[in-house]
Amino acid sequence: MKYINLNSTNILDNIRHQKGNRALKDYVLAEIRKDKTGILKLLNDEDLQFASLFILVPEIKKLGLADELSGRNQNALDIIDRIALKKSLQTKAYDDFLINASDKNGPVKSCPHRKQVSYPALKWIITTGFQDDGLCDQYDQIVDTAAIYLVTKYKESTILPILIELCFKRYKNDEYYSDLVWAFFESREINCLYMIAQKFLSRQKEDVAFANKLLRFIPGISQYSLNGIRCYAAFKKWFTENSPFLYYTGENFQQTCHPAPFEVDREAKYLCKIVSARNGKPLKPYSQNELALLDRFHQLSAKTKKLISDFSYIMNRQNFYWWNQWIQSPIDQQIKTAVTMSGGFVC
Amino acid sequence: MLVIDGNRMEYDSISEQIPLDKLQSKIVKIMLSSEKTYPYKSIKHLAFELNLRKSSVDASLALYDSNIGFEVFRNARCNEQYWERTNPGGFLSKENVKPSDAMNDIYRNGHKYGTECSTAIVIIYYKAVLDVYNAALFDEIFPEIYLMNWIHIDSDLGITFDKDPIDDLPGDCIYFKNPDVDPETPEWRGENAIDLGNGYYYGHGMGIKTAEEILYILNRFRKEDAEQPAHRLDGVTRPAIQHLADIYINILQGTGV
Repeated sequence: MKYINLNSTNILDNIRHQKGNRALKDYVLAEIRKDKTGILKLLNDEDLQFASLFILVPEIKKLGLADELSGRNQNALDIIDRIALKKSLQTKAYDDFLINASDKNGPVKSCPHRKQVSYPALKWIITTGFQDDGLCDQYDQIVDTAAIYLVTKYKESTILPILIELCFKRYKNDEYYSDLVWAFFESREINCLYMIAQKFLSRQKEDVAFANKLLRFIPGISQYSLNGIRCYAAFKKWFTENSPFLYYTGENFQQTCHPAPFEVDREAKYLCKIVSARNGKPLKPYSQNELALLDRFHQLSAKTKKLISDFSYIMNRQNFYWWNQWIQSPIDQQIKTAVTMSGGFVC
Repeated sequence: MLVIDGNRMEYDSISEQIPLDKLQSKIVKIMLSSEKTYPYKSIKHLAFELNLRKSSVDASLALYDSNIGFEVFRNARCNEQYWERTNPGGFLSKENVKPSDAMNDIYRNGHKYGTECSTAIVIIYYKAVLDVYNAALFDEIFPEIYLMNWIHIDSDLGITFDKDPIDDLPGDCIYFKNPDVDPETPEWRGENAIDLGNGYYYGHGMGIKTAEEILYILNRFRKEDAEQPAHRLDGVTRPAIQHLADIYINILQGTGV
């Protein structure tokens, strides 16, 4: 039987796309008797999509094919097994597991020794598996796990556009998204914020609503609700002014209802020094003079810190010579000047 | 410092007007000795806060005793007589049941429920309010309840995150963060836990533990090349206590606010 190629050159994917999961299983069970080598070749084909392998796991195990699979496929099978084991642990013996974890005389590692998860397998799961997200809970959990590994262990940022599309898709479909959103922000890249803000320009209300939910820590966003254009304008203004000074906080939906995954480093903005979004440290160490300026800055209230750091940034851009004189003046004088001039400059 | 209607209060004047148990007495003493000012509109507002905090601690201990299970959202389960288990793993109170009955069922049939730590905290706060209000007022204010981490909080419960709380007050929710969590156990990227006021915390999935024990357990769920240990964050989460007090005093006691 001939199958038309949709998204893949692999016949197993084509059967799945056109005839469904049952047909894929039937095809493999029928063909394996006639041409085992051919089936293995199709399974190990680099163009195979992860969802096809996932669906065939019971047949692969039943037919004893696991040992003949490629390294990529064996790695993927390992992750699938681990997620399944975790589910059984949680439903049967999770309390025992926690009691062991509480035992200070027990082994230090929480998890039994396990195979290293390979980067190519993880990348393959995400890049070919994302389009079938929603297949089942276990499948989605594997996608989440692969995403978390790639972002946190391998610092892989090329998958971020896929992840954000998945997050929005899950929101629209009323599916679980918290872990995936957390993984997305764990990249610690401020460009994440820009990717989300693009959704303010979507014609779909759900996109705007979810972007609003994710970015409502930014001043002005929550007040505009579903007015995507105004939300986008508020984001652009804030992002342009603050992006050099943003750092990752790690806040997420497990911790609070309105997480602020990135915050403005007020010290850095006051000194007009760029910080690393990953860890909040200045890209260049502060000089003795700058440290002395910060000594005075630290004693101010949060409100005053915001006032003069915003003012400092604007004046630094408008008139560097004037700014240099201002920031060397006594802190009381700085505040006074900032308050006097803020009517025109400071938001 | 504790201020009621503009007047700075002393312990004796408070204890003369509000019967204080051991926990509430401790809360009052923390507030009185604090460098932070705790302002209240009336002695009734202070009494409400003390009752709600006590109720939050009691609801934590009762939830621990209820045998409610720990499950990630994808495996979450509930008693479908009272709740609809939503697709992402939350619990939505059914239209034909009273929310107060649905809340009480979690405590009565805990073994039929399983969820993550953040949802457990939300359950505790709803239950604490239910026990301070009565069922009729609770059902009127919260006609529908959706339990799922912090995402679907009713605006009248008004959960807020105080980043700089200064004092440790019983009934507050503390967050223990695990920044280098194992990618295969993202549910342990942190633990929400209620301050029980005696050096112990209730964190769902862990039980009643000291801060040191919670951190020890979280550290067991770190990735292989972890660099950062788990640690307690300064900020705390709590309901909008004074807003809830306004509703209570306004409606039940008819004093006008």
